[in-house]
Amino acid sequence: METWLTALIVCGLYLIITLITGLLTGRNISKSVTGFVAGDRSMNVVVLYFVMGASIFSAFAFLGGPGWAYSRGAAAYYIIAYGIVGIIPLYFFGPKTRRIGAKLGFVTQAELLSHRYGSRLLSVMLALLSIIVFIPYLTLQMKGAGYILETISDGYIPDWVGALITYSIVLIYVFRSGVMGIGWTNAFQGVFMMIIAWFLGLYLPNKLYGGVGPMFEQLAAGEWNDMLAAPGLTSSGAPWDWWGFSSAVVVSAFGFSMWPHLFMKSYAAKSDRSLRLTVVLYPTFQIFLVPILLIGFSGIIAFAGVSPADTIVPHILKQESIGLSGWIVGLVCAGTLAASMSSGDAILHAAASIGIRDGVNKMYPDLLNDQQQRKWIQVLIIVISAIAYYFAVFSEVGIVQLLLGSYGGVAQIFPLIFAAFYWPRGNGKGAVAGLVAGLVVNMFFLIQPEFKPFPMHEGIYGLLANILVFVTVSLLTPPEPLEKLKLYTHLAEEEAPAAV
Amino acid sequence: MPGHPEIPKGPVFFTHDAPAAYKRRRILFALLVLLCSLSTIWPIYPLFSKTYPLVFSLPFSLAWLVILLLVTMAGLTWLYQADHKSS
Repeated sequence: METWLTALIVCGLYLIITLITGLLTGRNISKSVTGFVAGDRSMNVVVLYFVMGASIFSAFAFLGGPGWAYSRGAAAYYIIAYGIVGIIPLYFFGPKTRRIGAKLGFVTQAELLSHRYGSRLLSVMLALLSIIVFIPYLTLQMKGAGYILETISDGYIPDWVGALITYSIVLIYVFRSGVMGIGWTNAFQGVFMMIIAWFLGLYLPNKLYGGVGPMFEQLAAGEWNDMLAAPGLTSSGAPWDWWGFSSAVVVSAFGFSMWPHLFMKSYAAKSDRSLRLTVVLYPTFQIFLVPILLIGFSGIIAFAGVSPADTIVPHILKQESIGLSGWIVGLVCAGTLAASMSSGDAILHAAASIGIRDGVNKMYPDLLNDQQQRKWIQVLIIVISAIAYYFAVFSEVGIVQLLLGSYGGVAQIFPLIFAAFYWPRGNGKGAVAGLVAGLVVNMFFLIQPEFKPFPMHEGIYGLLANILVFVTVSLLTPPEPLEKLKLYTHLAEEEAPAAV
Repeated sequence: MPGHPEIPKGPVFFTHDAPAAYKRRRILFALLVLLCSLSTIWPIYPLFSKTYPLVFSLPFSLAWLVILLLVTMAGLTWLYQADHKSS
């Protein structure tokens, strides 16, 4: 039987199994909203490691990364670069968040920030921001799912149909039983995809070029040499500049630990120690991005002209010349679908519950009772899915570009978190003003890039505006109450005023 | 505008009674992170951004990042060990 047909059947089986599991499990969503996030303040290192690691197992890593390696060469290295430093803030912020959360009963990022800065408005703004940045993140997962099924089926299943089928299943699952899998299912998926990544990353260069080294030597000797020198190429094939590369790394590094759904995992940890150990071990996840990029590189010479570049992975997999059986191809594609779906439903879940808990509830505190909240979370889940799906179908923006755009927004949260713990003088008025300034500037340069003084990611300009306004407004207005500051920062009663 | 003598204008990274060894560790680590961060972007990365020599069969521009990953992991491990020595 044709490779692609076997692969398609395997994917289909996977989707059916997921659907059936979703229909049968039937845990009520309210149990998930509070239970999943709050009840579990007991995740140990092993579970935390895989839950956190699973956050980088998504269509971004499996399709977008290789897509960039395939079309832009060394530009894809930025993904590895920002992960190196990006996780580190969590080592310091995580334990503080966990302790305060345990003490005051917080389960979201916005709850912590709105308490620290004494501002309900901030909570609503953060809720809105979270939803806005989650949408492109969700869109790229849907695109990824669509690409896999379309490529594997040789176009019989158009990408919009593939995305629709996949995410209808996700919707059903999320409605019935909350998040697709935490803990052990993530662990299984994680191990599986790690093995696959290493296997393919080494197998493909060996099969096609006689080895990883020979592959790069051939690329360097040919017309593709420019691709290999950092910072690689732009989407149009011209050399990328260090402004662009560096700013993409910086903005992503600041934003990485600020993703609300990742940040709030801090609350779930059993102890500071398990949280920190997870951070220490995280590079062992990061490293698997290397073979993933190798998969992308392996396509450059052997399979020129594949478009869109984000489809390069399923494209390579289904080639007969690769010599992989349909079962393996199917398993890998199903694994990538799983990665997309599990990231997708975690994002959906987080976005909707943050939207209600931190947004609507804070704006209209006594409006909704528990049951109504549940209902509105479900409504929001549908609305967000629909918006994300619309963009998945009609927007031409690539997978990596979608996430990179979102990062400008997420990174604006960093100054607020940093100041929450390390700058007592930072207050609510400053935080709100800074966030607004950062987001406005970020959005402006996102839509009108021609106005940028330097060709940097718009998030940098946002951060500069953010910090400037935050500091200025905070210093000009009264600080937060001392008692509260002592809870969040290292300020103490006997602290001598530092003349800074 | 009233003054706020108890609340300093600048950042506060340590409690006033934090042990010197603890502070030293943190500052050293911060410097390491700064160095590693700069090594992933301009101005340090460009110095190591060529294709050759191949290290671990990878172009040097990629191997450089792998090396940095290992360095930060080592640094984090050191910090973690020191932080949790007593527990």
